[in-house]
Amino acid sequence: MTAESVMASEALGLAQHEQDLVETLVLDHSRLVYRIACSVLRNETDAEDATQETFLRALRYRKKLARIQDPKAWLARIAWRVAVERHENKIRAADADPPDDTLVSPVAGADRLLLEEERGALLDRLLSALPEELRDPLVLLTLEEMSPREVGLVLDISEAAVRSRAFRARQILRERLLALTSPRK
Amino acid sequence: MEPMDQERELDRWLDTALTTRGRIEPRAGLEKRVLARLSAESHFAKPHWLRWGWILFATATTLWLVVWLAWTQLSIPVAPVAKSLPSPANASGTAPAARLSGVQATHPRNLADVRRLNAKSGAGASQRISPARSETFPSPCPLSEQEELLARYVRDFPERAVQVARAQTELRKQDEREMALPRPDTASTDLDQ
Repeated sequence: MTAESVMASEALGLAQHEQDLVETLVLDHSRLVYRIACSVLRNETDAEDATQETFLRALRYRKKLARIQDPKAWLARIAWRVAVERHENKIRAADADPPDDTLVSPVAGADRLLLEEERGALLDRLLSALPEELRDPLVLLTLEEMSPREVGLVLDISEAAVRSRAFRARQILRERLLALTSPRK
Repeated sequence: MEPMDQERELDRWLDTALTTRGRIEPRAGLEKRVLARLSAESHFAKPHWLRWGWILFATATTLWLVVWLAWTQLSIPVAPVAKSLPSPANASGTAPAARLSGVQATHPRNLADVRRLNAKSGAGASQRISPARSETFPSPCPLSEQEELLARYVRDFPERAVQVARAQTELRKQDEREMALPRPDTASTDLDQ
């Protein structure tokens, strides 16, 4: 145990076993929590804030930490809720424009859209156009740490539903990409 | 490009994009920052009884202070001071004896009362709060134009001011001496007439 963690635990006023649990949670899952937040918020600063908020919320249940069966899924679920709440607040605050239906820049051609630097932006736009119940399982499944079972625990749906929804989402994405890359008539 | 090849290309593109999207790395030291934030927000972890204990302690201390201050203020002997405060008649500087009418004061029995009253007033004079005399302590008011000019002159030329003051004093004393002397001229003229 490092000196920093000892100081932190003293400041938190935690018992030894609680302190160990919190520290283990942070060390093991902070990266996953960050990635979940980033997959929703698409902004590093917001994602880090959401990560810290997730652990702060988790700390409220420090007395029950020892009884939690699957801490990873539990944290992932909190992180997902925090990120979604923040995302909704952000949209509400910014009064953001609805996603563009055309998805095609009038200047850039289809070939240019497939360039490396625009891949992420194009995928984000395609994903944002998906229905929420299809998008969420696919987004969470893209995180390498998350299994379909854990995604199901986060979204409160069955593992089979996760797989089928992700498959349908992926099909829709392919069709839209195909429509973008095929020559216009 | 064949349709099959195109679809395969699209699948590959989609796989790569999704994988890249899910591999976002946080800045180095995320765990340390999270632990630091958790320790900074230590109030989340403080036991409730400790927080309530502090709140109760602070409230009790404040209440005790308020009560003590109120009690201290009430216990100050206000009444005797109020009695010794000068009445409008007193404020004009008249002694209690002077308030008695002339007839009453000339009566032997009343004279004794007056002496007793005078003795009492003399004894209580040190305790009495006498009003400030305006001729001794004039109320602060801005200087007039002439006074300001005089003050400036004294400030700028102090030696000359002293000389002038002395000269004026000498002149006034000389006038007083002359006025005090008998006038031989007028006496002789009276005799002549």
